[in-house]
Amino acid sequence: MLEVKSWPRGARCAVLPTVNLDADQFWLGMFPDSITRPKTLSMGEYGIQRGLDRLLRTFGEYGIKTTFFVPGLVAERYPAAIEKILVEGHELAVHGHTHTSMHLLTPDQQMEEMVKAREALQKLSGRKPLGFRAPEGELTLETLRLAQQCGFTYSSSLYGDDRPYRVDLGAASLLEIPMHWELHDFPYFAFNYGPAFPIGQGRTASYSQVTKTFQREFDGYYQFGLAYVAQFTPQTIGSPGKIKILEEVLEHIAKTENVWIGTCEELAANSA
Amino acid sequence: MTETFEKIQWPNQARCAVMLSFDLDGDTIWANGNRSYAGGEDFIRSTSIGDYGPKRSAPRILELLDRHRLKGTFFVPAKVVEENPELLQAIDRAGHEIGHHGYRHERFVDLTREEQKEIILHSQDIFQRVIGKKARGYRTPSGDWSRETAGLLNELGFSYSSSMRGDDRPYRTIIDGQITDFIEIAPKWDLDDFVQFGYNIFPAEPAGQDRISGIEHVYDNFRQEFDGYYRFGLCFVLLMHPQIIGKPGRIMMLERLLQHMKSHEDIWFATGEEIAAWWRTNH
Repeated sequence: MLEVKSWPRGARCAVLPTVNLDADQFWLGMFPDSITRPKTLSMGEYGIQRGLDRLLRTFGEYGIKTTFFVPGLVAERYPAAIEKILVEGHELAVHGHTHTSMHLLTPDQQMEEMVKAREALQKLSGRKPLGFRAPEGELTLETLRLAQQCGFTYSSSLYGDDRPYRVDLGAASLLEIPMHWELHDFPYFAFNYGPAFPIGQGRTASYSQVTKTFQREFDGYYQFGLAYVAQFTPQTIGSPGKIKILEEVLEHIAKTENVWIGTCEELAANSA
Repeated sequence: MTETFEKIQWPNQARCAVMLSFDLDGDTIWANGNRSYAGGEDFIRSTSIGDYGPKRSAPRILELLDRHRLKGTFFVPAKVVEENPELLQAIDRAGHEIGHHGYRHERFVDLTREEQKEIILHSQDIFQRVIGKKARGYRTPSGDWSRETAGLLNELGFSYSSSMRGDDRPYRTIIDGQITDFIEIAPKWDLDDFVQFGYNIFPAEPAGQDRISGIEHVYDNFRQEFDGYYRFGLCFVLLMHPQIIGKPGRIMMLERLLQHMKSHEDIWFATGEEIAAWWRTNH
């Protein structure tokens, strides 16, 4: 396991407010039948149409550059949205091509997903994406081996630590920037009756409790000097009322001294 | 399609539009679910949750709207219209809008174009018979509509729909690649009272039998969402069900929310048809 000596710029705590721009591909990847369901797909389109703009504006207001994990098909379908992300100087990273769970695919199919997505992003950005986050669902060590062979320098797909660590792949290893469910907006807020998500059709969480949870977790990461990797989803946090949650969380972090906020790519370079 | 941060012009220099919508489903949603059980068509307990809506909640809602001089938009399955003609006439007389919501709250994505058309036209006949006019607006019952429904509604002369989830202001629906006069006023799951409060042990509602949300928690969420719509000058669509929001404690929550909204002077409270007409003329 890699011991991180210090965070970039000698900071006590690292903050990575990453974004998953799944858009309609979240629904299409998990529920292929959604192709015949305009209302279900419209939730994902909202992320592109409105949520993304609000996230970009909020990050801009706080002077934050972060990492956007994007399925290749989303980049192909919405190039103007990707252009907005690039103009703001954020990092683009791969989040599958079709947003299909990696465990459902053969190694060849997984490699195809990675290569196609990389090409789709590279076509728009002019540079090779370095990061890979497996789409929602499962993956195996083979997935990370393929990611490493494919040329990705880091993954952000697992939950096994609160600092970056190297995953042993036998002949090689891959840097992992781990995340945590409680720092992801989707489990608190994503909803649809049919196809049902969450599967039990759970309630919308309390906005104020979620705000405080993200803030209290940050206090813990700061206390222990760790890497706070959050995940935000434009179709979820980007509503007129919920964007305030992101603002209040970033405001709380901004008031704390000696915090480094940046992209996964920068953190990976620092951890190498 | 307006830009995300573009200032939207509303009537009378209002900053934000509010549509108070009520899906008066009655027992249809419960009866539809019950049909998948042996003998389910005779179940009376779950359907009684729905019966409460027209019987107890609707008069309470009408009184509240009247006291605040606000007009609501009621989307009503035509079967509920047939069964409650006096209530529907009272809603209509009070100046509220009545919109289409299927005959028995059918899931349109599961139906052929012909079947959809038959339900729409049959229900319009019932509206004509009971309230003397046809519905101008439509909200898709029970989940998704099909890829053909918007075109069908446009062809049948509907003015607008309030069915999708993809925006926070009205927009002109694109049908077969053409921008049309058929307006969409999209609501949100976050602002749907059934998602927060709807409950039954058997048949299970919601599917995973999650806990019933606390009233203060829901009030705070709705208020924070409204504050965001006000801040950005958008179209806030509250999607309520009389059987849910018309309970004694919850209707007081709704009244508090109305008071919060009315504490701003520049809110345009409007029906779906008024919003659609404004949008068609100005955007």
